[in-house]
Parts: sequence; structure tokens; C-alpha cells
Amino acid sequence: MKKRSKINEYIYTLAFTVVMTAICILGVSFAYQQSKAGIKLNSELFTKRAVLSAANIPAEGSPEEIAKTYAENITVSKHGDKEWYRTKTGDYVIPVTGTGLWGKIDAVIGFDKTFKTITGISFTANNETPGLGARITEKWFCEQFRDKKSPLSFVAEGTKSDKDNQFDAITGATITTSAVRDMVNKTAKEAPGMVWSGK
Amino acid sequence: MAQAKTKDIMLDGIFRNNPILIQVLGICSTLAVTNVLKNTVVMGVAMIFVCAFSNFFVSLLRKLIPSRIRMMMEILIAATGVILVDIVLKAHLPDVSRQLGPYVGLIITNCIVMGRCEAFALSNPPVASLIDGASNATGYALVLVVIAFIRELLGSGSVWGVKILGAWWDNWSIMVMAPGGFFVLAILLWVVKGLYSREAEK
Amino acid sequence: MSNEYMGYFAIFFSAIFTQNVLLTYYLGMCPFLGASREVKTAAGLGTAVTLVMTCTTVLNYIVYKYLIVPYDLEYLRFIVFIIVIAAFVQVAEIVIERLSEKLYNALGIFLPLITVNCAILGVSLFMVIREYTLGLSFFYGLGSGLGWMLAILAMAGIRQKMTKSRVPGPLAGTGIALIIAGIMAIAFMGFSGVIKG
Repeated sequence: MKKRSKINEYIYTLAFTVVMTAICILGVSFAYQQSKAGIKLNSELFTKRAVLSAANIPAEGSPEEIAKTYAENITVSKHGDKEWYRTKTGDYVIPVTGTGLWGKIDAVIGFDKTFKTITGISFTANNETPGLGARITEKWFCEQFRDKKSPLSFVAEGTKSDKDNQFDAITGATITTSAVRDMVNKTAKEAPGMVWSGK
Repeated sequence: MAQAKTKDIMLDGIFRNNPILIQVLGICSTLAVTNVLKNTVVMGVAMIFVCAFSNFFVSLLRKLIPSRIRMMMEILIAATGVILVDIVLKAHLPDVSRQLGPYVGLIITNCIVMGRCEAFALSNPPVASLIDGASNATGYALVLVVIAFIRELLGSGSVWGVKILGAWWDNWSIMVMAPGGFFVLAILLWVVKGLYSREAEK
Repeated sequence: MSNEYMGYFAIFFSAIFTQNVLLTYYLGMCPFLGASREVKTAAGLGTAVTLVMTCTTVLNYIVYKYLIVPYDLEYLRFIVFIIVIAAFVQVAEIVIERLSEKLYNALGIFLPLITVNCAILGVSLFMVIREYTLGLSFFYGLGSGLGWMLAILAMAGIRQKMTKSRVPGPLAGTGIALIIAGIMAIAFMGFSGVIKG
């Protein structure tokens, strides 16, 4: 008799676990399905804003307005197996991946059509330390790249260098800053060649 | 009567028995985001939701859960709450969600969530548990916000991302880095415990 | 594959020293503060954490790569990871109990605590976000576990020595432990630059 109740207890425990897990997973899945479209839209919008910002095209306002600006200005062009973005005026926006302190840093870097001047940069993904390396996504950091010329080097944060081949580093995040510098310089060097090989 | 009790539970969680300052619980995951005030506030709100959510459901199921798998079930419920928060953040605050990265997930293993489930929800009715969870997490979040305020101000010269200390201010990088968190929390503990013991002497 | 050039050793080394989960991410603070009064307890807990962390990181990697990603279940990963960890801890407890009573007394008693150690879940989540390979995950898990153990052992050693020191009243206990942890974190930061990440 006692043995039987022990088996019952096991069955109850097992059944309870299964039912609870199923309920939780179903609930979560339902919530996810509900907001899936929204999440996808958000990430598309995020990419669009990043590309526009790298191309130095002002994009403010509602999601619809940004999508409209994007559609009017940006086309996707193939270069080898890579997808680049091109603006109406012929500037390039190139997706680049670099290695920071923690892992990869994704960015889009904009160049004018001669690849001499940088039109802008925005970071789409990074795993850097919040408050330190992750500050590369801050506006002042990205904005300072506009109209600069490769090869770039960096100077201490707060210098506000007006030389066109320097940018301000982030204090305490030298590895991240170096990674950004290398990403920009490498792209500026290699991209012109890729335009031709793509054709 | 019932009202007085509710008030008691709330005061207990937020002040008298503050989880960080008095019980020194749950500083694990969330301390890491306290170098930026905005992230801290979002984490705090997420924390309040998850804690209230899991306390409520654990209390609702307290008579059904077999004791052998009690901890597993508590974690499962907390994880469900966290995933809901994560989905909401992704859908409505994508920028913040991107910055918080893995930290949202770490709320699951925050000792306060489990601690309140074990200490309160298992022996109290659902609504009281909900209030208990929410107020404990509120007390917790308040302390974090204070820490974040100090760290962001000293470490970046700004509050909520807005520079308020002028160019004369040299940022204390150590505040943004990990040791700063330890020091600020230790000093805060010192001050609060000192005040408490002085009050007790009176 | 983005971490190819960092190599196994760099990951292993930085997980122990420069990017110690405990001292740079505050992961696993509760047991760190609670169980660091005695070196013996700290050693037992540290070993258990290292064992569980290494195994669960690898298990979670396999589950993530072959179950979660192919079926597009990314949003469920928190639940799945925590279930894997909880299940592993349960199984480990039973196995150790059968294997040796001595080992069980030294390690087993700490195992139930480990499921809720933030560091274990944290390492699995970081492993996913940083896109490590299987080999890197193993070294990252092992390194993080050893780093955690090193930190708690050092802490326990210092605290034992400090029992005779006079600490300002309100700062005694947790307060001073936090200050020690802060100083330890600064010391560990000194290792950065030894290996170029």
C-alpha cells in the first residue's frame, strides 16, 4: 500500500512538471507570436535608421516617415557576395564586422563615392561593456566621424580634435576604440577594390 | 485591518527589511547595469514585475506543487515572467533591450525572486504575496537607482545621459568599471547601517 | 567564428583574470558573500561551481546549437537553459551520492544551491551572445568556474585573516567584504593587457 502511494507521488510530480512546463511554454509562445511582427518591424527600422545615419541623411519622425526616406534614398547593391547600400547620390554604406573586447561589433560605415571621405558610422550590434565600450553607440562618438578621412587615429576623449584624420577615443575602452579604428581604416582601404571585383 | 496589513507588508519590503541593505540579497545580476541610470530604471521595473508575477503564481499554486520539485517550479515561473518582460522590451523599447543584453535573463536567478517565493509566497495568499513581491523588488530597485545615480554622475558626469557636470569635471572611470559598484554599495551600506544603529540607540 | 584569433588560451585566461564573472559582472554574489567566511566551505563550493559551470556551458551550447536555433526557439532560451542546469544539478547530486559518500559530503551539499547561482546561467547566456564555438565554450565555462573559485578562495582567506581586525561597526560583515571585493576587482584588472584580446 505504501509503495503504491509512493508511485502515485512520482506520477503526480512528473505530471505536474509536464503540465506546468507546457502551460508556461504555451503562454510564452503565444505572447511571442503576438509581438513577433512588432519585433521584426523594430529591427528593420533600426537597420534603416542606421544606414541613413551612416549616409548622413537626416531621418527623424515616425517609423513611416523613416521608411519613406529610406525608400527614396537607398538602394541595395551587390558586390561579390556582399550586400552594400548605395544612396541616390552614389555614396556607399558598407556593413562591417570587427572584433572588440568581447566579441563582434557590427557597424555600417558610409563613404562618399570616391571612398576618400567618411560620411558617417553607426553601430548595429556590439557586446562591449555597458558604460564603457558600449558607449560607441552614443551620438557624439558616431557624429565625430563625419567628413573625416582615412587612415584615422584616435586621441584622448575630450580633445575634440578638429584634424580630419583624428577622432576622440573612449576613456577606459581602448580595445574597443582600436577595434573601431581598424574597422574604418580596413574598410576604407579594401572597399574601392571590391567595387571593381564586384562587377 | 486588511489595509493596515498591506501597508505593513509594503513598508517592510521597501524600508524596514530592504532586501539589499538589510538582507544583503540579490545584488548579483543587476549591479552590473548600475553604471547607466536609464538601464537601471528599466531593470528595476522588470525586476518588480517578475518578482510580483512569480510570487503571485507560486502562492496560487502553493498547495499543488510537490515539495520535491518546488525550486524547479519557482524557477520555471520566474523564467516565464522574465521571457514576457524580454519580449515586451524587444517589441517596445528595442534600444534599451539591445543595451541590457543578457542581464534581463539573469533576473531569473536573482536571489530575491527565489527568496521571496520561499519565504513568503509559500505560506501566504496570492494577493498578499503579490504585494510582498512588488514592494521587496521596489525597495531593491530604489537602492539600485541611488547607486546608478552616484555612479553615472561621478563616472560620466551625467544623469540620465544628460551631461550636468561641466568640462571642469574629470570623469572617474573607476566608477563606471566594476570596482566602483562594489565601493558605492559598501559605502551606502555603511551609511544606512550607521543611521539604523543610531536610531536604535535612541 | 569571430573569436577565432583569440584562441582557446586567451579566452581561458581572460575568463579567470581580466573578465572574472564575479569581479567584473557581479555574477554569483550571494553565495560569494554568504559562503566566504571559511576557506574550507569556499573551496567546496568553488569546486562544485567549477564542475557545474563547465558541464552546463557545454550542454547548453549543444542544446542551443542543435535544438533551439534549428527550431527558431530563441525566445525560449532562458527557460531551456535553466531547465538544463537544474536537471544537470539533480543528476550530478544523485551520481555523486552513489559514487562516494566522502565526495558527497564535500561537494554534494552545495549542489542544490548552485541552480540559483547567477554565474552559472550568466556564463551560458554570455556564451550564446558572444557566439563561441564548442571548444571555446568549454574553455570559457572552465575558466569562469576557476575564476569564480579563485575569487571566493581569496576572499575567504582574507576574511579569515581579518577576524581580528577592527572594522568600523556598521561596515562589519558584508560592507567590508564588498570593499575587499572592490579592491580585488582593481587588482584583477591589472592583468588586462597581459594577453591582447
